[in-house]
Amino acid sequence: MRWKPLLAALGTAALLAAIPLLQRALGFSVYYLVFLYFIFFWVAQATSWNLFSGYAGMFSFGQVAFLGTGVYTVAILIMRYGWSLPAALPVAAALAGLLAFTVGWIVFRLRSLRGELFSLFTLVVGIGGGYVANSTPWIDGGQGIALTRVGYPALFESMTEYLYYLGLGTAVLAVSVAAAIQYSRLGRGLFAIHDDERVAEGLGVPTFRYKLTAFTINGLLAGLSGGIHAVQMNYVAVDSVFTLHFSLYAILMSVLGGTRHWMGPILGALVIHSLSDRLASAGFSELQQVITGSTLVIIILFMRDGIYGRLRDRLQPTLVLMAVTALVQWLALRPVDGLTLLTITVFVALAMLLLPPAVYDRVAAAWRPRFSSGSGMGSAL
Amino acid sequence: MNQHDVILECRHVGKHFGGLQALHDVSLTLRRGEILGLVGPNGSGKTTLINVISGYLPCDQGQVLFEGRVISGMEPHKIAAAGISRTYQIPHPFRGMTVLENVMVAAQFGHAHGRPRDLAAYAMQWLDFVGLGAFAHRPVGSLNLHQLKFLEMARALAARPKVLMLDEVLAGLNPGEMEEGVALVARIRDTGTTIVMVEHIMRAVTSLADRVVVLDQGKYLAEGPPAEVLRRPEVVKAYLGSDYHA
Repeated sequence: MRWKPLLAALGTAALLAAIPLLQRALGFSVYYLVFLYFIFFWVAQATSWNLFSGYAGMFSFGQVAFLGTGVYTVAILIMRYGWSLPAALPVAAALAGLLAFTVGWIVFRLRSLRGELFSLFTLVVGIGGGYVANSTPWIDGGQGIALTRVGYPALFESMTEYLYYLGLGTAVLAVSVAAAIQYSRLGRGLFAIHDDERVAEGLGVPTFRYKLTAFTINGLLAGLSGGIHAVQMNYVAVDSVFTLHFSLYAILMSVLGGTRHWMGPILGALVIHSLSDRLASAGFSELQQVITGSTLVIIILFMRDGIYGRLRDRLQPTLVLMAVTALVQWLALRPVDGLTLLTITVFVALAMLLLPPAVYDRVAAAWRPRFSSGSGMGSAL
Repeated sequence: MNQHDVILECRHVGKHFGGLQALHDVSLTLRRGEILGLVGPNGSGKTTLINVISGYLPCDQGQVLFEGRVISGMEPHKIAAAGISRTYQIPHPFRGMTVLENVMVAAQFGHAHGRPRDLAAYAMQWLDFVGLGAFAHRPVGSLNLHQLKFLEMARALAARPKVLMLDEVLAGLNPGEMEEGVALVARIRDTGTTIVMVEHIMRAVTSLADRVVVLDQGKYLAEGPPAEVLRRPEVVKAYLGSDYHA
């Protein structure tokens, strides 16, 4: 039962690995690779956030601190000490993991720092990171660091392609770790902590150790992904790295997608980033915050378990609807921009998933003969 | 089995919340295989004592010993792993899980007797034991109070405790459900589990308990066979005078 979505995810990853080769052969726009890189980046960020905060139900706003540690470690090691990216990445992950471990050790020891106070503490760590970087000359000191002359192996055709594969690899790693945790003893313990921490402890769940372990893994993965992102950013500055929007988007994507399943953050990242990207390219980037904010409100009001829960129950009809939507656009709007087509398709699917169960059931009942075999596949998720 | 083999012992246990002395110099022993009734009027410290034994609250004075080892001051999950399990007066199920998954958590983390290999099958045995087998795959939100209380017991049992502390599992049940509950506690004892039972319903205490300890205002008041102890004048007085007839 649990293997089908995992196989689907691995199959998708294999297809994605082939896309740069297709791009070389067919010569379509390199922007598709950049777009997908950002999806991978957000999948890694949201997934790493979710495997602690989502599973255990303790919202951390410290994501940006781990990501920022990764970004600055790579920027400093490459530009000041002449390291290569592959050598710098493990250090970036380790330092961010160490930061998470230290913060976690302090906050989880103090029994009074539960719930909201945990969130507040991590928020302070996230904001404090920016001040430290800004006022410390050997980190940034307000100058920023330009990542020039970063090389890539000859195997790849361009820096874009290199980052694409690094991003894909990190996303696959993060998702695999999150899936492995979900089905393990650690995952069951985290879900129990989510529902009732004291009862969990009373049943033998070592809550301190489990929270610390998951939070440290969150830091490691976020730092690794941040390290790669330093090269993508090209010019690293406190204002663009230590912004709360990294924490908020990781949270938003996980909550939108569904926090109790490893697939949730993937779905959330896909929806939110494709929307942001299309809005930005249409010149409405200032609308991004408004739309993403209201999306979150709608989700919390009408779809508490996130996209994942609804998609599991409505998988086959949703896939059919997406295929039809894509086909109609392809025929009606030729030549069509691939990313716009993807975004519209995703949003038509989202609208269908947002239908309240009462309405959906009525519609589905009318279509029952056609989708009678659908339940089997849906329950596979 | 030696009737006088002590499994759990409280020595001069004290606990206060600010100025309120919830427990004052309470000493008692629990013998392997028995059902000990822990009774007393509201606010007498029964639930606080359970919270202290399970490590949920640290005690200020005294010690708790389990199988000869001091457990007071240990982290609650270690006390649980040593073989002490409890239920809550107000049921605290894991709301995001199914009935079966609730019990699986206990099966996975309680391991006084080693960990079972097939968690779901093992958890299912305990659901059947308390009569909730048919509800295994339901969300806990669909259970009523009586079922939630029995789920508490299934969850506590799936940890295979040596000592099970039941905090008012019969309170709020109708007469039929209570019969069921009394029979269930008796069956739990038959599995060899030692039971501490906090209970207000005296009929249940007298029919189940081998011995009772009476607490009053955080102090140890009396101890002995239920029918006899509950007739003692000081115990009757603690329950507010003449209203109560054993």
